[in-house]
Amino acid sequence: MDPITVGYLSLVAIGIAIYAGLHVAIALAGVSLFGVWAITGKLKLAMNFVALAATDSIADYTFGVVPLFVLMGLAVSESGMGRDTFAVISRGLRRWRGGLGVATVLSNAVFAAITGISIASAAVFSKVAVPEMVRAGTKRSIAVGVVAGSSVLGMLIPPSLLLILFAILTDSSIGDLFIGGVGPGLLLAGAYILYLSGLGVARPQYFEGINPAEEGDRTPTWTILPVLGLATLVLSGIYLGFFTPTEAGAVGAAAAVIIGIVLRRIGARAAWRIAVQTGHITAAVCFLIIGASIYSRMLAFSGLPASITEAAIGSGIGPVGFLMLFAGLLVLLGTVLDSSSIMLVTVPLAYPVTQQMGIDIVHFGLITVLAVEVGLLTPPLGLSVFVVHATLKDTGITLGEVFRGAAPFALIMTLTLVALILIPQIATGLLGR
Amino acid sequence: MTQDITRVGARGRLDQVADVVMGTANVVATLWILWLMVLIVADVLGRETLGRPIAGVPEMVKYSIVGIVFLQIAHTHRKGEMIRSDGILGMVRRRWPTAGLTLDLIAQLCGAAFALTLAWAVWPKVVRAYERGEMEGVQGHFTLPVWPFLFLIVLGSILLALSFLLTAATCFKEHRNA
Repeated sequence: MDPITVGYLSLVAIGIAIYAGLHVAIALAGVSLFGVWAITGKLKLAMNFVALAATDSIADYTFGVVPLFVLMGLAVSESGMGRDTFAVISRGLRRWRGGLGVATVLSNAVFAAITGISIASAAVFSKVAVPEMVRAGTKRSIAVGVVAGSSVLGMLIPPSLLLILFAILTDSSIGDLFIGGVGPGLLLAGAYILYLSGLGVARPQYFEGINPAEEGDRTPTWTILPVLGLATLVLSGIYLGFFTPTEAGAVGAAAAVIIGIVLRRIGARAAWRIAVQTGHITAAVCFLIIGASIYSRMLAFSGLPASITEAAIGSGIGPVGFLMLFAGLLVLLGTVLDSSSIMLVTVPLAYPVTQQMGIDIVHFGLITVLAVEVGLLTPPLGLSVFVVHATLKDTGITLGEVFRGAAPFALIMTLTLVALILIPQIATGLLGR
Repeated sequence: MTQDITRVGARGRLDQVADVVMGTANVVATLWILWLMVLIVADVLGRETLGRPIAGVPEMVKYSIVGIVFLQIAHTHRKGEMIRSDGILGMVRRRWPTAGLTLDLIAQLCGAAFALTLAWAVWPKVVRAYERGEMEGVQGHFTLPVWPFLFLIVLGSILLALSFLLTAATCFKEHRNA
């Protein structure tokens, strides 16, 4: 059969398999196995592809970052650093209408600098910030919306599991992508804050009155120091070239665990649970990468990426048009599929196009991550919204209410995405290119 | 984890054995992650303070990931944490339970088939690496044999296939009862 036809058929088959609920790694790897077989007519060759992908694709020093940053993220969540950050930051903002919302955004931004998983942020801040805001009189849908919306900062501001995944898929520098994530992350946080402050002026009835710190708030200000210290250690270590990202992960994870133990927030049992969970996430993500590596070899074999690249260049849509189209597709896919699957399927196809068009890899990476993250907030399946809802189930809040609350934030994300596409310097500025 | 093991006591013996084996693999892999963290931190400290890094850390990290992932993957699947987009599956399940179960059964069987293929494809590499005594690293500086890691891939894949099959069996039973 014509290789390109096989390529297209494989794409369709993978799409169907993933939507039908097959494990994503199995769908990618299994269909690609048949794809290679169909293209070459040699089963033995196809089997070799599979063996190579399993043995070569994750046997790389870089992959050490996955378990280490996951461990760090889980350890900081467990040791309550999210709660501390919110307690300290919100104290300063109480005199501002909508200030607690702003504090939630800011705490998420700070917390994002020590964790790489959005779900962790969503769970932590649903428990900490929502009750606080509701008690102070904020409309509930706004309170949950702020938490769901700002949880996406976790994967945008480095360290970030999605950026690591992107770097692995495109064989680019994790350090560069991390630095590139700072700009868009701050821009998005800024946009949220602007929106909340504006809303505070235009619709004051939605927010708390100006209220003093409540009784029993005894979180000392110094508790924010470990958070800032960790963030500085990891990010400046990578930025100044003092550590490789893998080493930064190890040092960050060790420091987070030690802080948790010293503050008596992580006991032996919790430490073990975190370690096991780290193993699960690592295995799940790395197994996906094995699947993706078989898939991208199959694609290269079929010649589909080259043909798509040719078509994209030939159509004359140009870099901005292409990125808009690509981002739109990701947002659409994000309504149902989870972030990592979308990236694994689409990036190997789009990456060659962006290279031909001269699009900076960091710029492309941040657009990809921001676009798939919009999917965390959109119905019918928005993972962050689900987590917020699940955490607050016993308050009787409905899923629809959380989705409605998150909608303005999804819209702001989309606007930020457009700005990022039009102005590459938002991502690449800090890298000086 | 001991809780999980005792809780399944009512189920089949094979389930119990599988849980113990996968649980053990999980413990080994978890300790391995912690060891990796300590190793890298020690390497960084040794390099920055004493000017003396630990030999072979990149090679060890490289192969550790393979070992960790394959030791852990069966347990990950067993705990339902292997990544899949089961949103649509969930909707189908609520509306047409039988169709949902069938879909899930198919998914599990596909998983088992792929995991077995993987084990079968990698096995010849284990044999070859063992017979030729393949080593990784720089000669005279730091080397480690490759075959144990390849063997872990085969072992992990077989455990994963087992886990898929056990879940498939559960689906099948529910299917019959439904």
